[in-house]
Amino acid sequence: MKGFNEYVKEDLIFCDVCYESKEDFFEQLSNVLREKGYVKEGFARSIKERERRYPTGLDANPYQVAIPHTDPKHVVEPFIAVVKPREALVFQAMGSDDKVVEAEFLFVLGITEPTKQVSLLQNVIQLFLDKETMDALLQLDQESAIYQLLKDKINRGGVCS
Amino acid sequence: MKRVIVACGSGVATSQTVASKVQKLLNEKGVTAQVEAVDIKSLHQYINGASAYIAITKPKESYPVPVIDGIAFLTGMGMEEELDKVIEAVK
Repeated sequence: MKGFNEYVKEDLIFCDVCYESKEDFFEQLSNVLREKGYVKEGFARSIKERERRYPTGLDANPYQVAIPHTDPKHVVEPFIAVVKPREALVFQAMGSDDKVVEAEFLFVLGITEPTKQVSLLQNVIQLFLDKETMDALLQLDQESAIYQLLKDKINRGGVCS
Repeated sequence: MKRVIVACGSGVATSQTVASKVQKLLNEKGVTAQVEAVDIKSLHQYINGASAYIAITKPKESYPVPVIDGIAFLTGMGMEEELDKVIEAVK
């Protein structure tokens, strides 16, 4: 089984990007993922539909994040895309019809084998619940710096695989 | 063995993650129970054999077993309280 380390890719970290809305975010990100060969054509529609039915916004006090993901059949190669939008994006809160979160960080999970990749989401959760790491991540405005911080965090054992 | 089921939208990631977390927490407390992620579409099939249902999506109906808030295990907020409910249910 691959470690968390291998799912975080430097070319899938996006920082300071402008999105008009959650839908715009899904469109733009899906296009990039498709061009890079991580997902199939149906990914965009599938992830939007799934987010509508089963929202993934999380209020991980003090930070608000979202962890969109969808059916493995649309994913070619497993990945975690890390996105820090210029403006927080409004997502519906997981398990709620009426609560929203303003997501400052988005962790999009490309999962191909749910039972084998449980650690993937566990590691992402450890990451966004770690205030020190999130404080640092929010200060950074370069993809390479975010990548480096994530790698350091993983290598120091703060997030294990 | 007492069973606890966890269901999220498609069983892709969230329910598996919560199931493994709750299982670990129960093991640490010395509570014997099996925590299992199930597809929400097969919820009815599993719920009768379970002692508790950990919901990640908003429950749309009432169930014959205690319903526990699964989001707490993702965000850590209110987690101890929800864990106590699970422990109470599998006693």
